[in-house]
Amino acid sequence: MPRQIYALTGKGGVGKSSLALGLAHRLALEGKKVLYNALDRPAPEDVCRQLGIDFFNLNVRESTQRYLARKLKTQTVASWLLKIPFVEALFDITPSLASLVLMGDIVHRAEEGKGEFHLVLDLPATGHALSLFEASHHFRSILESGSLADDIDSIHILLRRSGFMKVIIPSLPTALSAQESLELRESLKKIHLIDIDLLINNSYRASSHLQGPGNRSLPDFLKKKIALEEEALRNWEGEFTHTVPHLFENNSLDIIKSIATRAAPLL
Amino acid sequence: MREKPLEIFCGTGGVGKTTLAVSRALSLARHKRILVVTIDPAKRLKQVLNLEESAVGNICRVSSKNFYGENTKEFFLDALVLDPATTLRKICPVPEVFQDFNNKIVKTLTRPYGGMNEMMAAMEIGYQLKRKEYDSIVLDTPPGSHVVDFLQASEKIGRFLDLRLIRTFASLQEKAPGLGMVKSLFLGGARKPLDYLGKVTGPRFVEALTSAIGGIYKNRDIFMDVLNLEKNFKEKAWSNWFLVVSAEQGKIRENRQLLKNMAPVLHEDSYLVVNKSLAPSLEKWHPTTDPLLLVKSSLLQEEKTVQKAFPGHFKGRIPFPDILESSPRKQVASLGELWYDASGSEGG
Repeated sequence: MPRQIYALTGKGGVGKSSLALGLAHRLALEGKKVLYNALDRPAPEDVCRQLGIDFFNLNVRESTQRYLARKLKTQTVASWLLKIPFVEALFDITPSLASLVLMGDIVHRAEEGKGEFHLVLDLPATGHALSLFEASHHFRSILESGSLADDIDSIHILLRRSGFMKVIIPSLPTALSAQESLELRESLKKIHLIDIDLLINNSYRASSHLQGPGNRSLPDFLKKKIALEEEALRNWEGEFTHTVPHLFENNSLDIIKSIATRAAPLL
Repeated sequence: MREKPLEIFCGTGGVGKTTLAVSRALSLARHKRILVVTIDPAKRLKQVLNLEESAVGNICRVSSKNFYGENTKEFFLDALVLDPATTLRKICPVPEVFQDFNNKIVKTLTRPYGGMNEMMAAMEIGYQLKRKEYDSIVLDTPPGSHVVDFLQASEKIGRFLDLRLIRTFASLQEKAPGLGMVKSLFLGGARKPLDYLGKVTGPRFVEALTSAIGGIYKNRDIFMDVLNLEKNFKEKAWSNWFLVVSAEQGKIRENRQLLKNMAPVLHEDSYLVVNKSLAPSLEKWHPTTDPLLLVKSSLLQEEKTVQKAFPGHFKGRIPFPDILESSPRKQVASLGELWYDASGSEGG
């Protein structure tokens, strides 16, 4: 069942961006309309263009203004409010306000465009992704009632709805990384996000290059790397549903294309 | 390389910042009083140092025996996994002051994933510098662009606490006449914007927000005090910067962006740490089949690209090999030894 949103997060350096682009490319190859977004970080425009992936970039101020204008039914007041230096400073020292606004905008867009496109989200690493997902829950607990509280409730209902969003958490084949993925999944379950896939990325063990007939002649450091992978994942083998090998292509575009050919099990 | 009161590790995610920061701290702790602090909300430091969940927020004394084994000469290293709420409590001079922050908004946003990590980290560093308990503080910063949030934190808080700002906000009331005088908020004004805010958030939120801001302003001197010290770290006499990159995965574009964002604070004493290098092993390896030749050339090429990238930005480049050990503590121990070589090669 295809999801409306695919959200990628996980430890730093596990290949979230390449996997997100690979997944988006795969969906595009299957003839589906797909949009790539990395919240308020700019999308890699050149890569997206070369792979035929549409994208959009968010901006906290614009998203906030759009929301306020919708609620207050006036552009002028929304724009005026956000130009007040004190309000700007308040946004600056309260990063979770930005998180709330960005998540709200994403969910709103996904809901509006249902059936027309899929959204692939390249999210920040574990800690900041948790801050992002938890922001609406934090604000909901502060707000007792009112328009914003109702909107947050409907975001939560959507995010829990089956088929709406799948979170994909790649991990490197190391103990530190695997542990972080499992902890992240537990934290997400606590806020009722349950459609979560864990996968191993960058595996030397799974590389066809290292498993050919020359495999027996591998040098010690590569044998050791493979052995360490096995040791690191021994306790958690069942948790990771899919493994992507280390790809030895020498440029990021080829790596993304290679990921796209392997991405079907993630959809 | 001269040791400084602040040793700051930054870089994109997954390059080994935490492991390297702890290894640096361990190498310094043999002769000095050292605190290692992690700001990254992912809290890998906990795992690297084998700390309990309850340790989060509190300074923990860690024995060198954790790294080098039972039969070695013991020394200690202090470690702190940052927790925003604990930091807030710490900087309050007396417990009664903490009561001023007994507010729904402050309490919620200073939870572990409330987003306040970078802001409170600046406070914590200022607080630790003021205490003067340590010869050096080793900082493990949040990944990628989030380090910029940390670097700008004191400025942002300072701006928020600027009295002129709140006066301007208060004076907005005069520009929005005809609303009638109700309960005066913030130094007696700001009703109109808060009125609009209330339409979206409900009035209770506005009350909570007013009380939170009131608590913060009432104690603004405490914040200004710790932040004044924290500003120092941007000076050369106070800090060494280490930008950690991975030889395996250069992320050249991301790192260029990061360097650009950090340019205002980076000074001469900045070092590029190229971690997880496999080059020495790769050069000794002579594969014969095509797939393996590709493996070798691909890994070497990435590493060479990283080595040559960012010319002119750094005083020195410090290579660290890929430590093929499963236990994070063994990795730290091996890397810790290598810092002596790194310092030596620069003439100590």
